[in-house]
Amino acid sequence: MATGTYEGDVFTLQDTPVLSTLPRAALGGGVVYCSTDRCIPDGTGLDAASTIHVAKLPKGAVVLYSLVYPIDSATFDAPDAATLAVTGELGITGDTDLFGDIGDINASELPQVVIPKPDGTTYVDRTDPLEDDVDVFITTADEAITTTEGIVVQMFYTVAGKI
Amino acid sequence: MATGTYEGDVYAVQETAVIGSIPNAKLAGGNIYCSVDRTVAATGDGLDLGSTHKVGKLPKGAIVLYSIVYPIATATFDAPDATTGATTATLGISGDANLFGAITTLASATPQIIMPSPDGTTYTNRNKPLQEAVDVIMTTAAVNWTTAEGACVMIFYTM
Repeated sequence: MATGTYEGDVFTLQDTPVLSTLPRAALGGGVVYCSTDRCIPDGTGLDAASTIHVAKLPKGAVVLYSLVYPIDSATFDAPDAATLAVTGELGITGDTDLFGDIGDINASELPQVVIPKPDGTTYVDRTDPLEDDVDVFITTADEAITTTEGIVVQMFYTVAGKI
Repeated sequence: MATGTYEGDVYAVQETAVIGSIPNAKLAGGNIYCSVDRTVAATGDGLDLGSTHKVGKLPKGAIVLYSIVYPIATATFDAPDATTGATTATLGISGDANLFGAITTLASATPQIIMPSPDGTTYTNRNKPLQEAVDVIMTTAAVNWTTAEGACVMIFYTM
């Protein structure tokens, strides 16, 4: 065994910049954008497997991470643990957990850091930009949402080609 | 003992704004930039602790706010994936290998939020801008890597 000297994928591009690497230049220091949304799915269906649309992302977006936490209309969107152990996935049509898994929002009101998890079909690593404009939605699981309770999703992303 | 009334370094600058304080104004609401990179180790390139991974280039003037680091494996397409061994690491630059913080065991898939930890030689507090453009280096420690496993490093900074 021996020690190694490695370069990350993006570092390598930066070290030998050529015209074809420019579209991904944002990965090496692009502006960070945030899409933030809230939803309290009140009344029209609360069961597990409900979907909650929480963002529209542009083609070229590279999601860095998302912050997710439970809320209740009674506490004005302060972090507030859910009544039941609802979990979820954050993703898009065709890859419903592309942006990661949401753990039990009953266990804690603490914000969760949710990290992308490509499945290798369209997106094979975490620096792949979105190939289309997409709607982002949560698919709930395990338990039904309780009325007046909901969720906040803040998605932080950069955009390939913008610096 | 008694209560005190304090002001943060940046707040104090804002309260008495003068020409000389403008360069640090971004600390109070500047754009946030992100450098994101991924690296995976391989047997043929060396896996031992003490290996270095270059995972970012930051410009002169950058002020690192925080970094998010988590383990990955090529087999799972960069989803958070705990490493086989309890490899730890430091994140820094040449001359201050942990300037941007210490990474605890990557044997957990949970993302870690890493805060800068200047050693007082060149940078004496976390608001000090980089004095020159730097390569960011992750240096492994504690346990050797396993082949095809690595880490994702996202560095958030203002200018």
